Amino acid sequence: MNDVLDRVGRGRLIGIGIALAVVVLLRDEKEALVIGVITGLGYSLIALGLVLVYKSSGVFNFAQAEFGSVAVFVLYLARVNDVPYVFAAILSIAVALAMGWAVERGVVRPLFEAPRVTLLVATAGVALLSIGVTFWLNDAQGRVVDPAIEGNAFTLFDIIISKQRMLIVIVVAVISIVLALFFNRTTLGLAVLAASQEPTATNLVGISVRRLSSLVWVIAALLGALAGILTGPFEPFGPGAVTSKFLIPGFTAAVIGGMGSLPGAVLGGVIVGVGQSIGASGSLLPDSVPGGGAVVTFLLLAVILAIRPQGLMGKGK
Amino acid sequence: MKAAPRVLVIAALAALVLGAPYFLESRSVDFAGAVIYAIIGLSLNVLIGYVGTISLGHQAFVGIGAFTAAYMAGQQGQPFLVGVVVAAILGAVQALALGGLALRISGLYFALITLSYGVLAQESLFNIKSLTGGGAGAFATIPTGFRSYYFICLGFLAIVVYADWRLMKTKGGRALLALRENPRVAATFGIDVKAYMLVGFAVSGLFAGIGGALLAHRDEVVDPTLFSFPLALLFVLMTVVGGLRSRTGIIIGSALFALLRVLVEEIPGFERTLVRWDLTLPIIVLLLGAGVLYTGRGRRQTMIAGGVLVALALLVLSPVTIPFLEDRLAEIPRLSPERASGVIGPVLLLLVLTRLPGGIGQLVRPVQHWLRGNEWDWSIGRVKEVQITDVRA
Repeated sequence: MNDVLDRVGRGRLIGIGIALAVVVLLRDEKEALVIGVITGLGYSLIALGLVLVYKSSGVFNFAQAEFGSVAVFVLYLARVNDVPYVFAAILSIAVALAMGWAVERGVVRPLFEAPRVTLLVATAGVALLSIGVTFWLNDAQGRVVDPAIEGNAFTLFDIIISKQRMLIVIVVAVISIVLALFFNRTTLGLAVLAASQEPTATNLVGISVRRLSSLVWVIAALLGALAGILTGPFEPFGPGAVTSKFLIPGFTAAVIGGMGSLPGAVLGGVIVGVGQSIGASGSLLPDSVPGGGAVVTFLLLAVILAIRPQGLMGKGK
Repeated sequence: MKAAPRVLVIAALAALVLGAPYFLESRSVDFAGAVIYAIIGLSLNVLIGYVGTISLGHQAFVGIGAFTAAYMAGQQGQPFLVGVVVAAILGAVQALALGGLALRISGLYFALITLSYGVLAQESLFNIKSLTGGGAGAFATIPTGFRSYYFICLGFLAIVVYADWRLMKTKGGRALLALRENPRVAATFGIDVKAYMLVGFAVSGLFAGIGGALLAHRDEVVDPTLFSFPLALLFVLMTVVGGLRSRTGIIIGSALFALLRVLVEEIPGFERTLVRWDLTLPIIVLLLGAGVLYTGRGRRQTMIAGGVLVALALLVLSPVTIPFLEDRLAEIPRLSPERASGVIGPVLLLLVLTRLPGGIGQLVRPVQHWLRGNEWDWSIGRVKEVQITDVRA
């Protein structure tokens, strides 16, 4: 992964991150920073999945966050039926993985040769179908699922950080390392990269591009499911909850990172998280205009795409 | 060629469209909604079908029209028509602003921008209290009874269809089609790509503004939660399922999506019938078999034969399977009419994308061809793939 070594890009990204942090600290909004970073790591999980799928098949996967919505629903149903937490979590991840595999088989493969915009519409259809079926089998009311770990870890700037939130930080760190090792140290990871850059040549040397595509979708589903079950306990959720809360920030994070860079996706998530929490704190917009978080996300996306379309970590083209 | 059957078909269609609110008067509201959705579908078609950019924020286009109409009617006390005109103009203006971004950002990335724009509109713009009443909603009274309102909407649909038809008949329309397929090639032919893209956005916004205004006056109350992200997806679904660039197909497709609710309500056990696999599977298999024969792929004929055998076996076994399945089906909750389009719509979309790229438009083209006095020809209007843009990036 050359873009990891693209020190200039990384430097720029970190510079902006530090600048943002400094701005926040100066404005005496340490709370926004802490909350933003932790929320942002959730976005990072979704963004990582988006980047993986985009790298492997050039698809903008609008169903990415739905893997999380489905997982958290399965987790809830299992917990209501008194399944122990570990088994419930495994079950919910398994369902999401099956869904990822099915989407790849049923939707992505038949449209292998189609323009990418068509595939975008198809994955959006998958997301809507998943939300629709969840609505059908359940109802719109908010549900609450219990966290993996109860209790508070520590206090930072007068904000109590729960153990569940710390768990997200740890999971994102572990996943980042595992993915980096996967792409840099294993032949399978190398094959995925090869398939994304030169599918025909990869096929010619005897690697099944289609099988790799399935693998990538399953990994992406795993990341989506983790985002769902880790962040699900924070507030009541209904059908399509993860999609409505995470999809757009996740995409924005991925775009900030350049759509092709895994570290960029993680840092992008943090930037979006912090930006949103500053926007939501109400100091950016006049009181009469609500929805500061959405405004910040839109501006981040529009400005990055208009000024630096290759993202902060991407290589210029 | 005898004209009689054609005249009969045309008369029957006209009677269906004009007489709908008389046959089922209590459903006039829904029929008006179907016409409004058709206008919205045509609006989205200008962007996806003609300009070749996907819009996932069309609920914002429609919502701005709706809130403008409500503002004009409620806070300014203006008459209905003034509200619609102002909504149309404002719709065009906001579309132009977004179109300006589209000149710099294209393809997949622009889809993200529209998506984010839609959420921005829903969460921020539509919640500005002084303009939209905040979460409480804005009010717009319906100018007439529901049945007359249906005909008013029909009138606006006629205007939109006429405008769309004229647009595509002019130099501008041909320029749009050329730049959709490949902007660079279009530019080398001397087409001012940027100007025509902006024209496309303005027209789309204009139509969406009209649609939104009509929607506001039909519902009489508009609130921000109506214009959420799934609605934008639904608009894209109905346009693609209707068949891009096919006016008739999109009108039928949009109306179908708007009326799915009514279908589910009027047909008892609609969703149960859908999941009655023992009965529906044979029908689907037979239809698929016919479809594959129709597209003439010889390799799959063994599969079809197998499928037909399975279907027959299921039919023979149905005395055993039906009671068993019915017990299971009783546990499946009812599909609420409001949610019907969210379940059935995406399935239709995926079928269209993979199996019937021309959508409903592809199905009605032979009929239109025949109605114009030609021989019946199945192959008219067949499309290879759902074409949004030819640029593969």
